[in-house]
Amino acid sequence: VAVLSPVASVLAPADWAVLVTYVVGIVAFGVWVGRRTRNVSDFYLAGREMRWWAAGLSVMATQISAVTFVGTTGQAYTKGMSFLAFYFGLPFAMVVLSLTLVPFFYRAGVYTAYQYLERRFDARTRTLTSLLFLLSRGLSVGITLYAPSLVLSVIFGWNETATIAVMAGATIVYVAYGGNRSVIWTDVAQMALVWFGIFTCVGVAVAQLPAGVGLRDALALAQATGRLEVMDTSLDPSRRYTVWSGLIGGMFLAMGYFGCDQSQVQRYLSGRSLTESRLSLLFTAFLKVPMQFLILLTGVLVFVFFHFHETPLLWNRAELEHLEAQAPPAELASVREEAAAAHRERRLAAEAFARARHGGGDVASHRESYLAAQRRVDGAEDATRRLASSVAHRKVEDVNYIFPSYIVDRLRGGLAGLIIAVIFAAAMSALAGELNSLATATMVDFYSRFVQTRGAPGGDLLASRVFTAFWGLFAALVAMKAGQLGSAIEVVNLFGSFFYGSILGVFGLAVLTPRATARGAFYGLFAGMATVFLVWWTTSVAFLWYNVVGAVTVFVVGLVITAVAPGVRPVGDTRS
Amino acid sequence: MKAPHPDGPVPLFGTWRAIYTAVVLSALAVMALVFLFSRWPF
Repeated sequence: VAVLSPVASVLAPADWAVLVTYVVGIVAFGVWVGRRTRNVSDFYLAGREMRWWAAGLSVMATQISAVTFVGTTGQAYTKGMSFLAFYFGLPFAMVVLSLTLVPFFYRAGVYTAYQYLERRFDARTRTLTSLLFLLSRGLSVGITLYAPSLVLSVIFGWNETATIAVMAGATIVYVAYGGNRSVIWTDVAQMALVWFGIFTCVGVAVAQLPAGVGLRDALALAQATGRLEVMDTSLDPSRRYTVWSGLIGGMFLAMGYFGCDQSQVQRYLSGRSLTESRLSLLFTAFLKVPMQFLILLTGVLVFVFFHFHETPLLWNRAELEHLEAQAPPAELASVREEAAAAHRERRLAAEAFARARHGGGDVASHRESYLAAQRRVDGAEDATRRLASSVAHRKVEDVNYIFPSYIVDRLRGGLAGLIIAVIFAAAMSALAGELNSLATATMVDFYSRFVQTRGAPGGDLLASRVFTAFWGLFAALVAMKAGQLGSAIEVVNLFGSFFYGSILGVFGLAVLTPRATARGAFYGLFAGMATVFLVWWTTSVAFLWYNVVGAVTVFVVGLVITAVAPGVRPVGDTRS
Repeated sequence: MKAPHPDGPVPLFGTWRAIYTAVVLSALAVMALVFLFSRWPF
């Protein structure tokens, strides 16, 4: 096996044709379906005329991003499918939300979730929660754009700024024009493309296994390395993905995200009735775990695929070139030689294991030989990354480059273009929902609330479109500068987990406790965020548990403040 | 006679309780299948 085989850096004309057709087609479709958007109700909630399946697919499309494809497939390749546990709590969260928050939002006739908090508590609670949403979502939407742009730029040699500009520009056009109606219908089309892409990836990965190695053999190889392991029942709270952190922490995270994040609330509030809104969430509850399972399975199959095909020394082409140019020649030759030998040994061991499974020898001993070879490959890859990290003077991680490398190097006849289009679709569908919700929250919770309280309907629609363009440009700017932010990206991601659970706690107080006061909710929110910060600072508890800590703290502190210093009792309670 | 639901007819399974039960049971079934998949003697 020739180990060093840099991936191709160009797409074939057929791939370009598929990709360009997708981008032009989705913009044209988005503008076409948005032609009936004539007022803010259309722009924010698609005229409240959506069927459950359309809103449900839009909910799913807004949640998945390009990272879902390039990140989680790479994660499955390197660590296996344990990440699936992250989604175990989601279906239960959907049931709880359908029973609690969704009816309150829908019957209150609000545009934003935070509007409801002013009716239940006060203006400052609404303003603070909406501001937290704008801050975190506004920054993270830039990362939504940056991550795929960086990977695609490195793999194909594309200009990073141009990639960001195409994704952001195309999305801004149809979201600013058609609002939520365009978002939802393009999401439906994009989710169809994503599902098609998932099945294509699984099918191609299986079809490209060598003769004599079937799907069961591939799964047996993956299973031997522990990559099919999902059910970690450890009670250790520092372990990131266990059944318990997924079920409990994941459930709180999903309740916080789907129940309190405007980018999701706005999708299901577009339902033509409360029933349709509820069903859209329950539809997602049915499909989410199987979809994520298939995406992770793709990563596992790509892992097995590269047992039998050439594997680059590093997946990140730019890092590889840097390594080859800067590393001491003797050290580079050493890691290259060891990687080649380790991969060759693993391929032979895997083939022998497969033959033994078909009656050609002792399965147990061949399995042990294969595992020893896999450990050698792991050691060789670690040594390569250590050398690359010492050359680059920073930690080199290239997990996000595995899947795109596989696509461009191994898929033919327009399939690479199709899967790149799927990555674009995942990025643009997330971006579209986020831009629409950012514009809506800015308009409804700030501009209409504090600045232009008696605006003309036409003026409000124009202002909403301007805010959409503003947030789109802001996201593009953050994405273009993200490469210089370094660890700030991690801070941005962490920032969200600091208050998701806490905001959920505020909404819990709003709908579950008739006696809770505005003062309790407002200061409870600060207590929740401070507690999560302390837990992060002083312990190694996994981040999924932050959502539980935040929600429970707000709820308890809010009730205590209500009991001790109630202040003004809520008036105009719209609970029903 | 049962009063009509204020938010329109309940689709599928007749009642919301039955729908929620179906979602919970299907989620548990998916987890069980995933567990079986991870331990299946391929």
